[in-house]
Amino acid sequence: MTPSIEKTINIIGILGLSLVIIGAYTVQFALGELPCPLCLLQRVGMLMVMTGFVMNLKFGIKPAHYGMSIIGALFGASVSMRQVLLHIVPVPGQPTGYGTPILGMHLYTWAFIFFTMTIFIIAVVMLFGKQFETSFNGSNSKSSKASSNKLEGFAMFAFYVIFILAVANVVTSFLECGLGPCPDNPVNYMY
Amino acid sequence: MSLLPFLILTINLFFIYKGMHKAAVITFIINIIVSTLIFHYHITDTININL
Repeated sequence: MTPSIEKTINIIGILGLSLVIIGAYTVQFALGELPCPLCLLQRVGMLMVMTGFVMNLKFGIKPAHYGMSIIGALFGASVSMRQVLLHIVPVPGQPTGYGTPILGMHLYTWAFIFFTMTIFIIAVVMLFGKQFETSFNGSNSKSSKASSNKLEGFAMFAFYVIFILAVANVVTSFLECGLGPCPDNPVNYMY
Repeated sequence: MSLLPFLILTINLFFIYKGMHKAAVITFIINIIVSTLIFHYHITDTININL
């Protein structure tokens, strides 16, 4: 697998996970369902996965960057699994789960599936070792240790998307929770 | 408190944009630690569970 194909895979990964967060924002604003603290942590996990991908685009493809993405995915998977287990037993007289199910499953269940799929896909991508031998500019990865490439085209677009999502999450989580911890079942914005 | 990981992540992305590899990795590690602490807070705060 050549570095240019790897670069494309990383861009697709960033844009795909961005769509998931945009979908979560759609549920937040269109259906008026505020994200719970664990939902926010799942968004953090997705952004951490994307951070590893962006580092691949900026500094060249390295196993360490994929490792960062896997750490982010493991964090997000553990948070989403915690939330699945929290709501897995129905309580009589109470609504099942948190929020409206989308395509038959709640958002945190979908998040768990996405995180495990991300780990699987990264593992498959890492099987192709040639990508680590050369970076985008064709130089050897050992000699170009942590050298930065210029983000261009779709890579720049992907970076802008993730940056806008990160800033948007800072703003919306401040509006929802203020500077303190979020309430477990938020019903309206604090500000 | 809940916005802290997003704030660190934004700083992390800024370091990546500027090409500061080491600073980006350090902020990523800080983010993991902070997020895990917040996760731990929400586990122990909400419900008594037996592990």
